[in-house]
Amino acid sequence: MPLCLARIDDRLIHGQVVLGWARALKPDRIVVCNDRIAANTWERRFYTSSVPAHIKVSFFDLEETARQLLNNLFKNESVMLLFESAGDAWRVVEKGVSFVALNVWGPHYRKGAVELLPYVFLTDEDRGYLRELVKKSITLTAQDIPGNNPQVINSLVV
Amino acid sequence: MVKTIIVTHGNLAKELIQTAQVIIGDMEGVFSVSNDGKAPQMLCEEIEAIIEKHPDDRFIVFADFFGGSCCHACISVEDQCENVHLITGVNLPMLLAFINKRDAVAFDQLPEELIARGRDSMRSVRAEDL
Repeated sequence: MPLCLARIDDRLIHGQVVLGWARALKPDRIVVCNDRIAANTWERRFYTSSVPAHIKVSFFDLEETARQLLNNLFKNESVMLLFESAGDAWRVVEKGVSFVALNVWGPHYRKGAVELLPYVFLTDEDRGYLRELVKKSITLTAQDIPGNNPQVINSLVV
Repeated sequence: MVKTIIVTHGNLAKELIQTAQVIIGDMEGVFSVSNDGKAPQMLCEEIEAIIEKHPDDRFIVFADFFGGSCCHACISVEDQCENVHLITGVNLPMLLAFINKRDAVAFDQLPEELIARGRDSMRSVRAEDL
């Protein structure tokens, strides 16, 4: 599965992803990797309806995401992976999947989260998962849309 | 009284309300929420908190457009709450119609009525065709 982007974004499929990233990177398929949404009909329909018809959309729970990535399915497609949280990305990496880089946008502000960047607010738990991802030599890049400059945040989370 | 919560990106909701007030005067039971910088869960909680403060009232929730994160949060709320109708694609004529019609039209008929008013205001206009 050639990955054109693997991104942690608590809004999953939204304007920045469809109009920003998908327009620039032209993926064949967007995969939402999330246990709740894989089991929730209205959310799957909602997210599918907000993507242009020429891009396929799949919803995998984290177990299935790891299986698909480890078995290199969709090998003829350019794929964009979306995770809701650092914890979800870690749960896939933990199963043996490796990423060169993860794009990080969000999590946005929630109670108890501390600002790392204006749109990245981390709880201790989030920070712990990001630290684990850094230990696997993954480059964590904060970047909202392709036109703006990426910022490597590895040194900020360890 | 039927109340409303307008949920949008940026300051659109607040400005829509302020603009409607210029036209129609002070409005009761009209709330604005912005998604700016907020995690999805927090956005839902903010909308739900307004509804929970008014347990005896019914709400028309407006979102800016179908498909965005505001809309996503509003659908979650609609799915959880009994006394809510959700309309996406809010515009100024719809909000003005809401203020005029909210207690004159049955709650279940309001969405259709307001959408008709919103659509009716969208026209390609040429002076010679009027």
